[in-house]
Amino acid sequence: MPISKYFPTCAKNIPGNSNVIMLAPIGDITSITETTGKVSAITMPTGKKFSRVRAQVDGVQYTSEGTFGTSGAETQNLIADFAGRSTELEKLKQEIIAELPCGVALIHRDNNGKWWMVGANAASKDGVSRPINKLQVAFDSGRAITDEDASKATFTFTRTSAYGPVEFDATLSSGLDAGTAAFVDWT
Amino acid sequence: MAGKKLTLLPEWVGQTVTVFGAPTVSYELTNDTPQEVLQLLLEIEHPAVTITTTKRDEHNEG
Repeated sequence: MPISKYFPTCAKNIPGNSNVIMLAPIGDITSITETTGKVSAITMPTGKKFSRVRAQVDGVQYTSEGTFGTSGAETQNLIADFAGRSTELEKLKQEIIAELPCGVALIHRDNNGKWWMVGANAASKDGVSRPINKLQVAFDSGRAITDEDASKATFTFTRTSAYGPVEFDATLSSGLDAGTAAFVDWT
Repeated sequence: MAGKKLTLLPEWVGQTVTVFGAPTVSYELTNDTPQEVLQLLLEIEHPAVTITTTKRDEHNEG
């Protein structure tokens, strides 16, 4: 396979992510269509949608690390911080845990305005066969009311794949930006 | 001479799938689902569709 030119135009690069992520059980995603490397369609059984989850502002981070030779894979993590403990957060945690044996996929938006699908891609790559299937949870109450970085819960979603997250195309991204994308529960 | 036919896998018959794209469309999958719809599903890598190759032997006329 020839190696393509990579020569992007100069542009600002803003670290970090939007604090809203979207989750769906992998079983609710039938297929992902990629056109020129970007998600151009998602197929789901009628009635199934991604659920929105709001984390703390500046509390969402994506990381990946991997080594490739004749084979290889990268470990991909989506880390989300939540303020405090709550019954609702515990319920969310248990619902995610219940889906982990099959896995979940998630959508997040980076601060450069790009939307990314993590955990599912075109069938010619992983398809829906290597979803996010690990959740690491942590909570630290802090000690004093001045412990500004404490009293937060951290969820770390993890999967391993040879393929990175897939960016959404302009059409689906504009629907996500506008809050109108039909595959998301906006209620 | 070989022909190509798209077939809906039986486990998908009776299911309704929604393709969220531009535009968003829902399809109720039946045994009568048109080939054009199956072709669309094939193009988006939907797992419900399989390609059946039909082989016609034009020289075998007895």
